[in-house]
Amino acid sequence: MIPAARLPAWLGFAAVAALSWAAFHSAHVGVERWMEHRGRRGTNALEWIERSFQPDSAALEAMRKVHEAYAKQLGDLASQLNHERRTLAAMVLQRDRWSPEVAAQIARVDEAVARSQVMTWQYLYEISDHLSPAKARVFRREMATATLGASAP
Amino acid sequence: MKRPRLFSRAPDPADTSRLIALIRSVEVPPTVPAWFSAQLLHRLRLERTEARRGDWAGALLGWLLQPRHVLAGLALAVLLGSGLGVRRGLQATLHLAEVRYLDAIDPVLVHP
Repeated sequence: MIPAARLPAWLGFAAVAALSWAAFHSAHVGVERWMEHRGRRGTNALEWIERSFQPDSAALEAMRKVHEAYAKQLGDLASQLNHERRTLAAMVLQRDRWSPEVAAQIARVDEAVARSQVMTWQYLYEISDHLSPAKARVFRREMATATLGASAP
Repeated sequence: MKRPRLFSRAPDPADTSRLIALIRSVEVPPTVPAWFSAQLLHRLRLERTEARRGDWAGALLGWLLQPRHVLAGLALAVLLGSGLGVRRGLQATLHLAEVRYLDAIDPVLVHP
């Protein structure tokens, strides 16, 4: 129970806490908007690498070239994989019984997945070639965790 | 107005000495019961502790409520809140950048 005489003081503390929270919220939102405004919130494809691994400008430029070279192929593979997946989904919805066509479609999805994985990891190794060995290991571990759901030993 | 007299006559010295003797003859137990002493001591200790605690809290409150300390506290609260907010904002944007990068390079991720 708070004594009545101390109530104003406690209200003051509560007001300070509220002010602190307001400052936290404003700063948080402000930083996000500022980064968005600067076009650095993921709109630059290599922003994450740039901020997390801080490569020098030459390495960053080389990575940008690798990224541009692979971007179209990775995009095409993604489209193809999505197409194969949708085809399989439609097939499963249309057919009430198991058929060899379903098996063939599953194989096509798997093949598209394998091709995508090969291309993605080829790309990631080429990107990490431009980082120091220690940073490259961290980068590949991050990517393995994020894309394969596996934590590196 | 005349005040009424409380006694009709002056007290008799013999009565007074008898009264004193009677009072002296009454035996009052010299000690209080043990439970009473224990309770009393307990309450005294409790009140002393509470008074000490009250003093400590009051002193701290008094120190904190000095104008310069209030101002310093306000500045500290705003600075700390802003600093943590900036840090949290930067972390959030970094995480979003990673998600967008992954989304751009990993065709296996399901794109609805």
